[in-house]
Amino acid sequence: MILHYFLIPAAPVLSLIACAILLICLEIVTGEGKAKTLKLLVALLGPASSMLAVSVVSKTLSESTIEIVQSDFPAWLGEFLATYQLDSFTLVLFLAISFFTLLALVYSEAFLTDFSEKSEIFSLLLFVAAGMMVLVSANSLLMVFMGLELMSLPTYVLVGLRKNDIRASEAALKYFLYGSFATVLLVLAIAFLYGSFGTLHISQITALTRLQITSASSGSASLSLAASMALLAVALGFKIGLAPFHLWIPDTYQGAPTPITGFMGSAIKLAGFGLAFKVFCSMFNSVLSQHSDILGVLALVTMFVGNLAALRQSNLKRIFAYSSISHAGYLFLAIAAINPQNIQRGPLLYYLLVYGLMFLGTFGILSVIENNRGNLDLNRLNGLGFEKPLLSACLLLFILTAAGIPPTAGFLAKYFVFLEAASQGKMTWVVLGVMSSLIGVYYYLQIIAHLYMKAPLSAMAPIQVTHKAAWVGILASAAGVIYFAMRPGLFAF
Amino acid sequence: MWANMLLPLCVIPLIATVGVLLLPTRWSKVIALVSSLIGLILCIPIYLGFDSIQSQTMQWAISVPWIKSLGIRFAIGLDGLSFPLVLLTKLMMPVAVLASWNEQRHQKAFMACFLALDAAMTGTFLSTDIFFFYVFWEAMLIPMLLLIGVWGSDQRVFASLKFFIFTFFGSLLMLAAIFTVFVAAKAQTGVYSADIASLTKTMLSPEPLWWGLSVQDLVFWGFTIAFLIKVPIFPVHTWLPDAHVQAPTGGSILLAAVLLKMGTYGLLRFSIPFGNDSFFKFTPLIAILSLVGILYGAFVAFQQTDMKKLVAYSSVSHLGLVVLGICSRNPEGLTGAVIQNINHGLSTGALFFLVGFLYDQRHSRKFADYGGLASVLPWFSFFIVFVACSSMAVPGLNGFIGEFLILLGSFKAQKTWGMIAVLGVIFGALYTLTLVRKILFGPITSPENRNLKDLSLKDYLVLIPLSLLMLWIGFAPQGLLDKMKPSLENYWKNPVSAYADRSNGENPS
Repeated sequence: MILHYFLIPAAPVLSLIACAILLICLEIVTGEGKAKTLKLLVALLGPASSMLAVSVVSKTLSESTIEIVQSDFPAWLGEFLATYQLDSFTLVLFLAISFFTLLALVYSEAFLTDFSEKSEIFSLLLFVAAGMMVLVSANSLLMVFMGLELMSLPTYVLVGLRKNDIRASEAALKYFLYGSFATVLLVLAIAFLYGSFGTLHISQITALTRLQITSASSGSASLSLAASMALLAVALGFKIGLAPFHLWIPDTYQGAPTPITGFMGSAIKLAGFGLAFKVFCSMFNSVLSQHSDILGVLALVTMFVGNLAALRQSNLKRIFAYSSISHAGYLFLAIAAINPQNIQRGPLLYYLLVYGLMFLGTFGILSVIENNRGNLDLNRLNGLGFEKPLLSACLLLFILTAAGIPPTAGFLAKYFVFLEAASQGKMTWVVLGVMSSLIGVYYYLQIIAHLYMKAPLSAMAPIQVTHKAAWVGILASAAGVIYFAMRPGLFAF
Repeated sequence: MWANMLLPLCVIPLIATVGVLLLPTRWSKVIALVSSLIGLILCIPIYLGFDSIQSQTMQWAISVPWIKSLGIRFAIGLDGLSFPLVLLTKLMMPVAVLASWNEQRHQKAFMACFLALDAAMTGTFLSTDIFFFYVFWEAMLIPMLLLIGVWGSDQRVFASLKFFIFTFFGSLLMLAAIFTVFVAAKAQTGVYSADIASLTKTMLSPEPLWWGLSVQDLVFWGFTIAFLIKVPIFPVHTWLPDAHVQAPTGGSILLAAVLLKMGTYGLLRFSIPFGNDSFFKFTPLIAILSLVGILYGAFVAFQQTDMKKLVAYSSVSHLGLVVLGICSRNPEGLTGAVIQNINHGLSTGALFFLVGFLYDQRHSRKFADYGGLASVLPWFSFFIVFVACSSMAVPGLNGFIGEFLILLGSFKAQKTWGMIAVLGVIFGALYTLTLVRKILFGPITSPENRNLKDLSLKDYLVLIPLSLLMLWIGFAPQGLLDKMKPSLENYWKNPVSAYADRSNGENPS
């Protein structure tokens, strides 16, 4: 009983945490810089076993939907079990989180060559992943808070890994300050919600808001609902980088170690959007249509801010930081344009996965370039196209995916989001959205121009992929992006 | 056996692309040539087997579901509108490959771009599914961007980005229009469908919605702007001279011969069927723009000192004529437009080939560097005069048929249009003859020109078939016209009928 209802569903999270703790113990036992292979293997075991666990869970889930019958358990256990909820959407997110973590571990092993002891980095990554899983599967606002903190706190450390680098410290400090501020707002929102509904369970709040709306209740209750929704939007806006709450992103993404940036841009965004989907599409389902215009404007502003600001950048990491902001806009449009009566998770999920793979793949390549050529100014790419054909072809694929140019999966992802908006009658959003991608295309093309069309700078170090594991990560991302381009019907739109 | 006629046209270049990328560089040229020749040979059974009586329906249609819930299918077919353009594409591919035979830089990638472009171009013309049409339409941009940007001349980066961004702007407007139609069709029929033929039956409200424009007008312009940029028509033509001039010879040939035709093809396939009333409303505007383009292109071409630029501006002028033929809204004008599409592909393709031939030897496109070549390069001179005659519509050659029919159609539609267009044709002769005069005649000004080599075997292989085709269309256009006669003659009846019952006052969306 306990096994079926508790251990199996929790296995993906537990295996990550177990491996993380094991890693810390290993470091104490073996000492610094020793038994590197063992540590790496234990680290990789985390997400790998987590993926395995997800497949087991999905099997049990398909056999019988896990419904918690409170009376079967002691009260405390029933109470606890009700704090999370697994469905197919969450499980796909679990898989994605595990996969992204796997790639991030590989990248950290391959590229963070200036660290002699990596088990701390690994265990921090695993904790972040566990936090993300808690976050996306939470059914209680308390769990949301827990997951968010478990995800954020190790990330602050990861951003500032290079203690002596002033940019890294700036990045970590900025991220920490903005992140804590966002958490404060989130807690405030939770307090408001608890105040008005007397419960922290998301599904109960969903039901209660629906009741409140249909019974045309008093103004004060709906005011507190609106206030908590606004607070949540701002808190999430900070986390997922919606304009105007995006200001930390360029500096943090640039200052963080490149593999960590890749992880943040893909996995943390994914978890953030998993939460945003839960909040806006499930919890506030009944009031979503009233506020969809505000959310849509937020999404559009984000797109334009991201794409316009990226035009002026000359550092690849900053370009992709702004690009990730504009992608957050498109992703948020998928939430804003959702039909509350008929929730389609497909467009958001597809976009998240394609975007995450694209981002991780790109940052793998950027790490290669950074490790060989010192920094990531745009002109470091010059002449790379014919020097390293396969690497450049992968980068080209990722850039075209990011720009949303057919026949890549990036186009399909945007297509589904826009189609969702169009079918809700929001043609203005569609037109503005596509125009924003026109702006975006300019800086993506600049990258392609540097990659293939510009003559190489003199005296530039040749590019070597020293660690073969890096290829695994890059090619896996590329394969994923191609796979999604060929199977767009994966999530049954 | 006939069932899968079309699929190889699209798939062979794709396989060849992969082959070129995987096999060693010394194979690249051969693979590209063989694959494009197979494509050309496959056109023979297609030409023979194409049923002219049924040219309004899609022949050899294939349809495979891809995203079921959105009604998106991989669907291809050939009808009277796409038939000549597919043949043209397949004809120009070997020409472009042979024109690039001496390209030394990154041959592998170069040929891969060509073959990918081939697949995308063919797919664009063959698609009967709007989604795949869009995918192919856009996919074409990437190899073309690289062709211009990597293998082009000095200003290549600027030119390639300009080409991409202009076209992409139009494509995005088209995408918005596609979404509108897609959703409106879903609202009316209850299911998603991306089939072009069934989507054109969607009724789009003619009620004014935004600045006096109705939904139908907006959809019409969404499509039309995209296609007019591609054509390109007067105010949005500026990408073309840059792209043409900077592109390598093979790229210029495909750009002029095939890519520009997608604009006029799109007008006929999408803009007019989706927005027939709007087309009716805005015909004068588009016709005036194309007239401005005809004259402006001709004048600017006349002023050029650069051969490729002259040919590029002549394209603006010639394609203006094609759009004018469409705007005349009668079968003559339309037939002329379709024929002129082919003619322009043949003659401009050949002109770019000849200019490229000179450029390969002298690395200059300036008229100032040439002159008096007639005595040094007799065969080259013969062909350039021949092609120039075709381009300026000398009777007996293909250009005459097309321009005559377009002028006939536009006189029937609006006398003033016809009169202005005639002026454009006269100026056309002027700049074409200037081109011939400045290259071939007069004294040999630069001593290097004395050592130029005349055409070689590969050049004859290209020029003789092209010239024969020009003669064939000039003397016996029926061979081509009869194939698509029903679809051209009934074209103006058909798009109307799709909207016939709109007057019942239903208001969708």
